[in-house]
Amino acid sequence: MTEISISDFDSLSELSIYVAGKNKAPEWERVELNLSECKFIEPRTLIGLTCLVMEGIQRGIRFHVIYPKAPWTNKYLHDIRWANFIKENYQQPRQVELVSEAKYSALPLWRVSSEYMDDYILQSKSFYQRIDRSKDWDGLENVMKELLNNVYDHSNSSSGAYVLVQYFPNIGELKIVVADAGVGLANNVRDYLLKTQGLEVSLEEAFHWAFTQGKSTQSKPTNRGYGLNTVATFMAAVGGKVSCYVSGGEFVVSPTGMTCSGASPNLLGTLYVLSFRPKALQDAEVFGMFDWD
Amino acid sequence: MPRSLVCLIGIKLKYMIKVRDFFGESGDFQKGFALFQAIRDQLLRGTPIEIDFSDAGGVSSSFLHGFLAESFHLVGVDAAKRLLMLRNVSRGQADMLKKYISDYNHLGSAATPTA
Repeated sequence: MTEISISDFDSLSELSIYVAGKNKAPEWERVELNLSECKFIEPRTLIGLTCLVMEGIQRGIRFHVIYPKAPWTNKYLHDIRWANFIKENYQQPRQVELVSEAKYSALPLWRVSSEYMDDYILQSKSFYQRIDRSKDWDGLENVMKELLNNVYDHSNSSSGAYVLVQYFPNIGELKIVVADAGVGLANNVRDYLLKTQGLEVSLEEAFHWAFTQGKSTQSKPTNRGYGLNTVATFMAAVGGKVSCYVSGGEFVVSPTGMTCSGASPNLLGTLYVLSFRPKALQDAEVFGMFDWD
Repeated sequence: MPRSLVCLIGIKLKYMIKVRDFFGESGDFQKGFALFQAIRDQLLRGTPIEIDFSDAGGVSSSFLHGFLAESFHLVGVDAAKRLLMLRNVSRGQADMLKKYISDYNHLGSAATPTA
């Protein structure tokens, strides 16, 4: 049995390399996933871990989890349904149930397939309304749809998107993590530019390209390169931040601009983190007639 | 095919559709394209169309590719703007529509429309 310890986001690399190295294990292979030293698990770590575990299960790995010693962290993993989620043959219920604690409230971990996207978005509405009913949440819904459509259209992930939405009332911040176990945004762009234009681009150039208005690796009517630019525009408008992680690269779009660094562990696919303060959203308002100009 | 309400406004017929009733959440290209197909004949006839967005939630760019870009392509941007009356649009929906139109004007139709 192999033992892999997870303590924070960076520590996902070992598991990622292990899972990526398995096509299909000859027999069920056991991995002991040691979370015992975790005192706090960030949403991005949790979603990254979930992607790796779910992909590992598909590749014939059987996980045995040692849960955190810290009682609060242990409870958190159960509250947001992670402990159920990673069980083999887990059947996800149709109804998304809200988790509410003193330190945070959350929409639990959810696998959102393309067929289920509208249903999920609809159910998440009530969660957002609980945070602040006076704000307009439709802009955030637009963003969620863009990210999810991006996963379905470009990631080539067989399992859809994994989503966690968490609100921290003490700092007034909402964090949304969306991830897939697909080909990875930067890889997809680099392959596309190489094949279609003979261009070799760096990781940073690939990220910039993907977030630029009108750039898409597909030319179907559904893909015209508006999506990620819409995400970045919305987040900038609310003073928030979108971080996009792929293996070995982090791209951040914030009100101060766009930055790229190598600060990411090895991951499968792409992981997005949106963070912003709901207070910064515009007040809810309905226009009787839309003014085209 | 969605239900529709046809009423008399002066001497012109006006076609009305509520997005929420017929298409639920306006998430993807197929739903946007279904909306376009529902109003296609009215656009070609030059009939004003009232589209009610109340409670339809966020509108994705994929949805707007299916609905708006196809409408623009069919009758032209100016005619589509004149014929399409979008009612009960939330602030988030309005921001998305404005960004989409600005992107469309800037980039044009980056892909071959289906219609």
